Amino acid sequence: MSGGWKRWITTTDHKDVGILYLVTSLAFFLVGGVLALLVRAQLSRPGLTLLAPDPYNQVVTMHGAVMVLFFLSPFAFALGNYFVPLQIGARDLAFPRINALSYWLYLIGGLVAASGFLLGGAANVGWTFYSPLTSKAYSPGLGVDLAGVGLLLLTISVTISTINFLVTILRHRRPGLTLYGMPMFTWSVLFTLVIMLFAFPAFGAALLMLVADRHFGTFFFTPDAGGPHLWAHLFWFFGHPEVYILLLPGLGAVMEVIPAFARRPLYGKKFVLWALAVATALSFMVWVHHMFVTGTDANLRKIMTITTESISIPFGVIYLCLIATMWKGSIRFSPPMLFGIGFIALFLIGGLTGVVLSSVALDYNLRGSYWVVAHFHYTLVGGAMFALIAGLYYWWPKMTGRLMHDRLGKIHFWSCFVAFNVTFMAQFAASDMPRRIVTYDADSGWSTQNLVSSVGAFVFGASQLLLLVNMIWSYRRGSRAGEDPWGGEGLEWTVPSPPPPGNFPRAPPAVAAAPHRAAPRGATAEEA
Amino acid sequence: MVAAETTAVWDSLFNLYLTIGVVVGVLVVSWLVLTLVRYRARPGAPVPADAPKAGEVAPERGRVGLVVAMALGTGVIMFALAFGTIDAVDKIEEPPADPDALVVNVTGFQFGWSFEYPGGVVSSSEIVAPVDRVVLLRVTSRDVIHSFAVPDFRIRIDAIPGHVNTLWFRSAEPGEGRTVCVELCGAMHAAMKAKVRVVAEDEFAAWLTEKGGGPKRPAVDLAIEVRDGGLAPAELDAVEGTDVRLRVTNAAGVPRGLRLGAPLALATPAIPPGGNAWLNFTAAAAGEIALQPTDAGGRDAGPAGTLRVKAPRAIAVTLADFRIEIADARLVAGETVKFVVTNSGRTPHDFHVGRWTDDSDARRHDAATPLLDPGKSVEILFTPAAPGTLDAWCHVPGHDSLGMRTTLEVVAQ
Repeated sequence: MSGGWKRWITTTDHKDVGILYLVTSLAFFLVGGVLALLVRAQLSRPGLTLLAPDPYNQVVTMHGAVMVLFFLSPFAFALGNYFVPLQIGARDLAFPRINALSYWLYLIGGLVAASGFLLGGAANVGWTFYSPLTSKAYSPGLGVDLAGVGLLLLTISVTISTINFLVTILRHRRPGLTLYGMPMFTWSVLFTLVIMLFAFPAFGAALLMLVADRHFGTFFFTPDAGGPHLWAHLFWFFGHPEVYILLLPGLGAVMEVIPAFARRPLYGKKFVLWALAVATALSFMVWVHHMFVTGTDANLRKIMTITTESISIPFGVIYLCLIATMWKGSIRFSPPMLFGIGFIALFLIGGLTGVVLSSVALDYNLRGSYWVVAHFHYTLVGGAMFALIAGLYYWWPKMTGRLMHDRLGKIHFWSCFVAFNVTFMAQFAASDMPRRIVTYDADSGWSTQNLVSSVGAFVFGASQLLLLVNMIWSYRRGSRAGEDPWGGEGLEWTVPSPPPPGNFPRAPPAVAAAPHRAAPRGATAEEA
Repeated sequence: MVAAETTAVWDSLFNLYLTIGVVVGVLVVSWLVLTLVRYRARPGAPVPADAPKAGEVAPERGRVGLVVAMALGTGVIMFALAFGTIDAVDKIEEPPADPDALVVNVTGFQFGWSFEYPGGVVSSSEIVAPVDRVVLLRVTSRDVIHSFAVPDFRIRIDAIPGHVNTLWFRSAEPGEGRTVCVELCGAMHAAMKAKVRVVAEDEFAAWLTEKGGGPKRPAVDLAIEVRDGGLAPAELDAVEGTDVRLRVTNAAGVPRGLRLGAPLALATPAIPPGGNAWLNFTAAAAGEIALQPTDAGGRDAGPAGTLRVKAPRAIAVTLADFRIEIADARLVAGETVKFVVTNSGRTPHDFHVGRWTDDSDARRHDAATPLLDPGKSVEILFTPAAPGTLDAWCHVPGHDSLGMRTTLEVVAQ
């Protein structure tokens, strides 16, 4: 990338901001990954004292916060920044400077949140920040404040980005491109934006109240007034939709990858969109399933059991359509496709084990256990992360103009896939082990599972270096990609790789449907 | 291992979910693998006519019937599971009617549990329950959120400050299990364990009585002989607050007895020559108690002796969050001291003396206070047997490793 460091400090180009998001989120992935390996090292044998209890809690807390909020979501944002304008034929986002501001707020927020490690101790209360453990009385240190401020900056960053992207998608599409005609990745981002628009304000408000409680003597979360429940409701009103925020962009990427590599259009786009709309709506109606054993209202628990299990219905439809897309196709197993297929398999396991957790009755023995840990790693790593890595392999040639090493990419996939399953299947096998414990007794029956899980985790961690090597190799030596190396659907494949500033040398082309194809409603060539 | 009625309810629902999950998973993965194998790209095979083209909106595919069937199929399975859950949840949450139900208040704190039984009996290291009785748990916390779990019973509920949650269990068989905390509650979260014991009804009653008796007083054995010329020895020493078992031997040629003066006012019956009698009493207050030999008719016979009840040396022990301050950590072997233990912290603590062990069975320790709420004090007596070093610590899980562990030096007399 030319232009020196000044370009990267001052840029407002959505593609440059996308690259900044990509590099930064991968750096946070490295941080979160090292923290994960510290956890796995500490738990590899019973009774280890590699990490003392308090540092262990810091590591566990920051692993969760960094991976969920400063890696996965911004990683999806990186692809969104780069490709949403390209896919809709826009020259940039509606508010390019606000987009740059979003990035810098995210970077600063992440650094502030993680700086606790250098300033006497990071937050050590779990990434859920349950009150009153977060109160000044029980967490007097700076860690919770730094995490709170860092997350507030992130909340501001996400909120202004949400507005920016919504305006861009709704107002800056090329002539003739209907909402319906948008590629699935942009569609998924649109659903993500709707979720962020409603979820993050709750989180921002909760964080403000937390900081006020700690420093200005307010008592929003005091136990006498039901504060612990209030925090949990606010947090999970944000927190459950947040997992859809993490999932949907990757799912959208997979819905581009699979048609491209199976060489068939997405099966039932209309139904998939309806399914996504239903899932988006349901994502706000299930948060109490994170609180099934907190003593919330019994009817609310039963209702949320049913709404949670209902989410399987739209995802059943999405699965049908994903696999049916490949039926009678001509499937090429390139790295993006392998990760896309890996996503289908792993997210399935995440979903099915999640159905178990949706049962309020079963939570009476599974809440706070390694079943939960293994389940959400299947959804967030096997699901969201595999999907986004598929997207990264898919769009990397467009971003850099060069192909990645195919064989190395395949080795990366297989080592990831096997090591991931080893790591987290072992955790299902220790599902009666409580979460977030620093160590366990040798006679607890968890020793073998933990050792296997730790070995798997280290292999999984090491295999990510293959991606890094591949990226560096490709950037230096990769063969030229051309405009459209895969045969993808979106408009991004019609411009040079990487696209020039302004994206489209000429005016973005109006939508044209091939004569032999049924033109989507309202998007005919005549109209354009 | 130990089981409750909820164990079977949970297990059967879990197996239902697991079975359906495995079947669905196997079907989907089989279909996926079939698709991948059957439609893999073969050299020379034509590209499908509707392959995506850059910048063009792809044509429509998809049969509505298939999608609706999929949605309905998923829906039917899910609603069947949801109704299974609602049925099970009533069984897990609603305790059966039991007029003899035992109510136990369970309070979590950093980093232990206190189990309060009717009548104010408090246990901190174990929760003991009788078989075949419904035990109602009223679970709360005095600081941060904890979560009380008994994995063997398949039950758990959050312990939330300012809020009481309820849980119940009933076991048909005696057994032993454990409780764990399943919500991150601070540094020593992993240490927050206690024992669960289900015992026969009579054993439970005995346990409750023993627990209700308060801290055990040290007992001392004293012996005295009534001789023709008087008492031997003529003077005895005891420590205030101890239980005394006094053996009275008649070494005189005629029947004799012994009468203890005020405030005890106890007497043996007449003892035949060569015989023994026992007097058991508590040396409640410091002072001197007259020991008067008596004859067969209970009249004074010979010079009186004295039982001197001395106040023990008092040593102040302050339990803070999280350290122990002992005013004087030097003890003398055989000398009884009185620890005046005060909890000045924000968290419940207790004070144990002996050889340190993280075993939850406090009966193996030389001396122990009950669990003290913040601000509370208690006095315990302790007599070190032999010179050496003893451990003193707070037995609440995790507190010893946070700094509440120290030593006492015992020197020879």
